[in-house]
Amino acid sequence: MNYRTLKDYYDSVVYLVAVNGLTSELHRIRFSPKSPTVGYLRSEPLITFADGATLRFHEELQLENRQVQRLGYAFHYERQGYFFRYDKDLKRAKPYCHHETHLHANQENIRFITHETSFEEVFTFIMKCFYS
Amino acid sequence: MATGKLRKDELEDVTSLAGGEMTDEEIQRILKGYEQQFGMTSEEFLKMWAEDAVPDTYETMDWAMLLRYQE
Repeated sequence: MNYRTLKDYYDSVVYLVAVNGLTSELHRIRFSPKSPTVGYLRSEPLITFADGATLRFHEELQLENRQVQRLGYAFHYERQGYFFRYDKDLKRAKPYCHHETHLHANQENIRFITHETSFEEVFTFIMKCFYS
Repeated sequence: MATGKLRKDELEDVTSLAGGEMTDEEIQRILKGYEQQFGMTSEEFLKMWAEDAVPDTYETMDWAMLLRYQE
């Protein structure tokens, strides 16, 4: 997808949540632009699903040639007795134990190496796994 | 991203429901909340974060990110 500004990307995230029926949570999706093409999106404080499960997220972004570059993120989904979180954390990455893109699944101290993901991918995954 | 299920006028309605841009006051309030929750100032946290002395939880990652974007 092409985005001219961070606001364009923000709108696309809002639309994705809306078309999945969570219009009551749209006011919890926020953004903070530091320039038209740099900034972050975050939940404030979280998105709540129909079953009470929650998604907290933040995503640091930079647009280059209208493409989204993700500088960092955390997508934390939690339901009773269970959570997973996809993180991208360049500054704290270390060989073998802390890959820059990783997944926590019910444990904070174990990180599974993953590909780079996005709000769209994680949110769609959650909807398909738990709500379709 | 998938937007095909909404008409253009519906998309405009959706935008009006969104939370929009955060204010500096809101961001400061969140930072104060983290300071109270963890019992340290943001400066102390940043030092410990840089030294890898705090774990990477959602809250600590969020705190560090917000501080990176402070003016």
